[in-house]
Amino acid sequence: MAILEPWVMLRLIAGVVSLALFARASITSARVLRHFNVSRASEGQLALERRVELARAFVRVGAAVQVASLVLTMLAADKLSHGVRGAMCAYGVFRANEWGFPALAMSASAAVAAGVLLQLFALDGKVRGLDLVKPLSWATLVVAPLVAADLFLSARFLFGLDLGVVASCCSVELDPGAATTAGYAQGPRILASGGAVVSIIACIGVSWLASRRPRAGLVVLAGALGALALPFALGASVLEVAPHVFETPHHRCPFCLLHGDVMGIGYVLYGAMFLAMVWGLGAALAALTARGEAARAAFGAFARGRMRAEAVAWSIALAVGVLPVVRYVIVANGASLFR
Amino acid sequence: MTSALSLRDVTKRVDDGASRRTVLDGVSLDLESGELVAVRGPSGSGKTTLLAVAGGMLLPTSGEVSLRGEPISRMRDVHRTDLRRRHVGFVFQDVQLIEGMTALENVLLPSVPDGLDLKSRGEALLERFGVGSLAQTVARKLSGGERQRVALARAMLLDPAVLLLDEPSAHLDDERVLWLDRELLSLAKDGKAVLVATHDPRICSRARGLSLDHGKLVS
Repeated sequence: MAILEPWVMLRLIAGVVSLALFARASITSARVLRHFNVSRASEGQLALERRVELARAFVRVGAAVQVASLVLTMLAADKLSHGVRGAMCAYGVFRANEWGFPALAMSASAAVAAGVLLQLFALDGKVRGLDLVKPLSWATLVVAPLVAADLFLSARFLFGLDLGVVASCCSVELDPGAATTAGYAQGPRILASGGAVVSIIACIGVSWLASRRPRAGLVVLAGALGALALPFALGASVLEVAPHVFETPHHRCPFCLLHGDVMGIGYVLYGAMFLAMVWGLGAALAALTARGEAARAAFGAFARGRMRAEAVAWSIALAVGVLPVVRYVIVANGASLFR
Repeated sequence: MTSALSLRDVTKRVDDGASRRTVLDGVSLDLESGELVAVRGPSGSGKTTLLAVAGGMLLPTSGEVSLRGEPISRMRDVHRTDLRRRHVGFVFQDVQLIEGMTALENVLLPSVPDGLDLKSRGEALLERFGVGSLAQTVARKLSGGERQRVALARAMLLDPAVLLLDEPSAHLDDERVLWLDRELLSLAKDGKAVLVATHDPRICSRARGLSLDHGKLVS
């Protein structure tokens, strides 16, 4: 029974905790959207304002747990690869039933949404007034269904996991596909790698500029560039980084990058991408949301920190991605892996 | 002009489990910089609650409290605490010195969170209030009147815009009450907004007087 594995239990408990906290906060959020009126100082309004404080705490903890759930999903799948026959990495575990990859995709989406929500709450923490109460209530109500869907899909995946079944290995499913394409130094890889380098450098530049002059337009641009860079970066991690890490031109498995024999480089690479994305998008959304006087007053210091963090995170992702390629070029005396 | 302290239609109800009691009932009050206001009323009339709500230590059940134009009663705890610490000096009825600390250490307590070195200001304040020679005396060895003056020095350390005093003459003899009366007027002249809750007729005779009766404020 996969459900009795400690990492699986942790993953499911995290999902239940997150959903419970979001569900409770959603009730308050719905009340806020119906009854909140900052121009009143009535007993009901003040009581609602205090309930918002409690809901804030619930959502912040729930969102943090939701982000941790993504890490737990990866850890659980990676650890289970030792128990699922035929699986060499988390890929085989996710492929073991039809719910695996939808669950992973939903976990990633919910984690990004929760991370962005945490950024909005971080701005709210600096605002002296109540400017962000309604936008945050909307955001809570948007993220809550994602949290529920994530728990549903993860539970379907993990409860349906049969450790007795023979799963497919990434080298069986991904490598032949890679090997049958005409050669290795082709369009998608070059496009992904080139696009990743250009968009990440552009994003680092704009984020750095925005950290010096935190204007709303620049911050939104940095967030948008980060969102543009992510698909390129993910593509490059699979088509360029992974083959160089394993020194095998057709091994394109991102999940194998999480293994200890490659020093878990995938955790640093994907972790940096995730944080850069969340900080960038969070700051961009905050720029669009901070309309009141108090929120605008707090936005500058908040955006400065987030833009600096986004620039650093993308720099780390770029460095970690480039490092195996450079290492291979040095070791191979300049020879290409793909020829 | 923005008032140093403003209460708008403030109501405070407390729930003792069996019943709900209204301690403050629709209180409105504006306190300007340089003004000395005395709120009088018998014990249990809500004076201490009024000061606690005005100073942001208690939240109103309804209504709004603003400090220098900022609605502190509707702020998050962390912001309210920050504003209160910087702009409000409070002298409690029971003084609340830390017994094991010296008078000077007690006075310097408000500067601890910011890591400010205000030792010379603390000594000057103790001197001003006539207890300079007791700076190194531990609080538990001080008399009631001396403790009161140390508490006043502590409230003044960060040069607050608003000074709130709850029954400040409770431990003082007639001579010290006269001294306190002069000090409060002097502080108001220095630009402080001073709100005193007292039922002692000996002090604040020259202040704007208000009465608190069953939670309602009357001029």
